[in-house]
Amino acid sequence: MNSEVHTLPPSNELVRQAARGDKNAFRGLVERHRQYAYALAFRIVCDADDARDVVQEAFIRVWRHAERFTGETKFTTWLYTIVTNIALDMARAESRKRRLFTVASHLSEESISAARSESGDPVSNRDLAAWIRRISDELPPRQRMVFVLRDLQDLSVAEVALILQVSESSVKTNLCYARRHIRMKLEQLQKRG
Amino acid sequence: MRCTEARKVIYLWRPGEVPEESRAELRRHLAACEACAAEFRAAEESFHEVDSLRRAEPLLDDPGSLTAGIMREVEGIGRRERLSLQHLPVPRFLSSRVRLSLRFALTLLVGVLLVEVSVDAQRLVKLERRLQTQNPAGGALTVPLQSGLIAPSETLNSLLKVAGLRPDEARTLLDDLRARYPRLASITIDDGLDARERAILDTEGKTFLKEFEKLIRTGGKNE
Repeated sequence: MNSEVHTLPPSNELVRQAARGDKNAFRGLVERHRQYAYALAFRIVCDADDARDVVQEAFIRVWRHAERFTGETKFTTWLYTIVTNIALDMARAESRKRRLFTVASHLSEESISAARSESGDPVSNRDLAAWIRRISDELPPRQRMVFVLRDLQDLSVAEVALILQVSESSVKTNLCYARRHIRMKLEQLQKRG
Repeated sequence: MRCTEARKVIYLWRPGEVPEESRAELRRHLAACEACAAEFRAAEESFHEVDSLRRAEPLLDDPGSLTAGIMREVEGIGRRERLSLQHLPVPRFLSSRVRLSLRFALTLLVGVLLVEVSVDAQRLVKLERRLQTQNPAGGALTVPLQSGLIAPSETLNSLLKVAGLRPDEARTLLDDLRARYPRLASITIDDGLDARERAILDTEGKTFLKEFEKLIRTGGKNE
């Protein structure tokens, strides 16, 4: 990561500068948040190229609408809301053609933790996408989003509620259903393996 | 605590999701209810699996090029905004009627240029339709198109994926094509096309497209 990123002002200040047309401030925002935004987009769309497109589109929207950011929430919450909305639209469109075009994964029916411990290497993006799809693809959209934001992206229940514009109790209820489904899915996969 | 409540609290296992009193109640319930205790054990295993999945963060490949792409788009937005009718540069000493006519003429000129770009886009649409009918997977292809005869690399990449290539294979192949057509690769669509770039598209561009169509037909293998 660029060491200059750490010496930049807080993100909320950078957005204010970007709203006044400061491209250097905007670049600082991109460099600071691109990896995390990418991780979120990737976990929703499960495709490296599509996730890049989502992040690019999200930052362009940040640039276009920087003046709308009021600073009442964290910049990251605003950015992740934008990323989530774009990624969801893309995932919906992709789900219609995925059956025809997706290249089958070569990952065997082993667990993600086993895959890590055997090779000692980090799991590749491709295997990761296959695993996320395998355990969460059958979830209803709301449950899947809650699972991705809370359990994979590690956001707080309050942040997830803000991003999805639902109540915290709705987030928890959906989390319960999602986690129960995932437990059963993992058991099925273990039995098959 | 009843079983229905316990089965809910079991799955709200991460810090801050339920108050500590509920956890204490759950522990007491599990000690007395074997069915819920069995579900708790099964759930714990899945929690570890999800933890592993969370730690395996997808890594952004070549972050510099992503930033460069975003900044290019942002520059483009600035240029397009400057092209609006009110901002067209006309000398202030002219009368308001002349200034208006001049602005109108300039707008017309910009319109003609835009039509030319869209004609190029039409040619690309036709190419994509041809590829669609030839691609072995069949079905609709919903790759977003952008203006210009040569599709941006994302579109080419998607087309190659349709032909059955893995993303890394598609990327290697595109890198190879870019290396063999350096003049084409140097053209930036965002800036519009000048006469030199149009000449390159008319010659090298056509050869490139033929080769690319062949690659799609053969699933990325050179014949």
